[in-house]
Amino acid sequence: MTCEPTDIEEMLRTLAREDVRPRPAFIVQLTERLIAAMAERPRLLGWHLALAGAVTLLLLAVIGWVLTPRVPQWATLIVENGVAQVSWQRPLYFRWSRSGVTSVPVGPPFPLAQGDRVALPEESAGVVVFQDGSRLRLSGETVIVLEEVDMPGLAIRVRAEAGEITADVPPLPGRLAFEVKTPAATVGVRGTVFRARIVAADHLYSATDEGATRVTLLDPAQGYPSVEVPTGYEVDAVIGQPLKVRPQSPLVDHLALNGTTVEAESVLASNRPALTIFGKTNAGPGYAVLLSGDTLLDRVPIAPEEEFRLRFHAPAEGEYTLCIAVEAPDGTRSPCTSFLYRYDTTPPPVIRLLEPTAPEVCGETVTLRGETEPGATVRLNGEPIPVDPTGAFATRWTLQPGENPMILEACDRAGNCTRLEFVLTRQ
Amino acid sequence: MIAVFPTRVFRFWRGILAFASDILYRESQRATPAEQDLMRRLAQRDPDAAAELVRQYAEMVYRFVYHQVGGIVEDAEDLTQETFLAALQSAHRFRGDSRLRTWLFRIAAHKIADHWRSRRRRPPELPLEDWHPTVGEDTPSLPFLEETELRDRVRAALLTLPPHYRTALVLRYVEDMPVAEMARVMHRSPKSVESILIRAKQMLRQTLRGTDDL
Repeated sequence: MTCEPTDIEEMLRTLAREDVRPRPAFIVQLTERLIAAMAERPRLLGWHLALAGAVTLLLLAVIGWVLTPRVPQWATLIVENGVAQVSWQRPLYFRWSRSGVTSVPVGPPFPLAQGDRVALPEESAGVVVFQDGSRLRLSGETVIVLEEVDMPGLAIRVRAEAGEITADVPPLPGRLAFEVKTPAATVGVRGTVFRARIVAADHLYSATDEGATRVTLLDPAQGYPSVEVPTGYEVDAVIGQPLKVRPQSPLVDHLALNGTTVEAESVLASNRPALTIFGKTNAGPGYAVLLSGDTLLDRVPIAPEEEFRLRFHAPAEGEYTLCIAVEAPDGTRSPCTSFLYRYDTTPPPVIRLLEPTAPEVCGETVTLRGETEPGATVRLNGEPIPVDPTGAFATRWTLQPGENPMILEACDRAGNCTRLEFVLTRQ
Repeated sequence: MIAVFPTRVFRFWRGILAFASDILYRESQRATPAEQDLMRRLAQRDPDAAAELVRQYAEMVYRFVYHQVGGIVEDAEDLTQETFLAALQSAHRFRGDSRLRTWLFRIAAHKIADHWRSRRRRPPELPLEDWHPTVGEDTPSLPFLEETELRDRVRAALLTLPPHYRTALVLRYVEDMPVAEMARVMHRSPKSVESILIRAKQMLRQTLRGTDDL
């Protein structure tokens, strides 16, 4: 057998021995380019101008900020991730600076006033906390306008232009109202936790997690219909379509495979055909159903503690897209909570060992390199070794003098294993 | 006191010698009168000076750049040209504190760093099989690599290193530059350059071996 050169300095010096020269035409071109550059007028130092401009703008901004009359604080914005843009419309002394935009990074709460517009770019998140303690959690790409506040009446109205918000409103006394208005509908509450997502200009999705909300469709053609959305239910308010309330998708809590509990994942592989699904819903009484395509596989009543258990038995090896849904007493069905179940009893193909290439090796340590089924885990003499997503693995192993029995074992995600036994002899 | 005295004397003279050798080294690293004259003429926009600069240093700078851009001729030529244009723009600022070669390499190193950073280029991901040729059942052993193949592997592995590691390795082992001069090119202390070289070699070795833990 042979060994590769390992002296890294010697390997680098192979580059020095390479005959690297620029093309003669390039030398001519470079000379001409330099001479041409000499003939050009010296460029104006752009960065000097940019710096001067920036300093001027900074000074103007400072003057504007100093001269800005303080407006009553209406809410605060806490940026949790990324940067938020707040467009503000506050009275200023100078007509040309009556509005502005400021970037609010992660940090201390930023005061907001009525009329402020908060925009969160992608991968940002933030919370608007109102004086009464109610909160609006804003996801990335969300835009809201703090439209109206009636502090004596304690009414808060927010206009949402895009994105997704989750409102957490404590129970409101007296005349207090909390309303989120979108182009398609309004969601009004007197104390609840709800989520609202603007799917399109004419489409609002709203889900109630606690309490109840009233969703009003802003559709004059239908006479502004409204509907109450109880806990665990959701609604798609679309202009031109009737309001239909349905249960929210259930939560799959965990799974059991022949008595072994496993975490719920979007893709699950196993070499066992029987599967039990444990889930939860807060939609109240009704049924939990298990479907594969249009085929109903199981249907069980939801327990009073809002939990359910569904059973599935794979008839043959293969992939099954399973849908778990909640059915209300009136037959309305929630959207699916889906996952892929792969029933697989076939072990990985034979492990292919690429290195070492002979059973006799020199040196105290040996590098073992090979490949197996993508996604498989590999153990060498019982020790797990790193495998990349393509199934390629590599590790270094210390050898004893003489013969070293080795056992390589590859197991796929379904738990099927293949073993490769061989002996390495240290010379 | 008597025992301490010779040690103090020794330390004193050792310090004096180190100081003197440092001054001598710095003087030896200053630009020669010819180099200063060339840069003065370049600052005065003398076309002959431009031609002379290219004739004397283009090949050296090109080679330095070539090994750091994975041997891509187009990139090496672009960066060499950018280096010389930047040298022309800054010719009036050349004070002669370092050799002209050192000064040009420093500009080139900046250009190479900008090349990777501003264009958000990342070296290509190299799959495991690129490093280790697949060996079939009828191939009994892995032969020694040809020098050209070894060179290609080293060049590709260099691309996976951080730019300042790559610069350090090329300066030291390809350009055969002393550490003190490298420190001037890389704007770092000689100690820092030495530790960069050690880490760069470790990382290159790991890359050539294919995994981090080897």
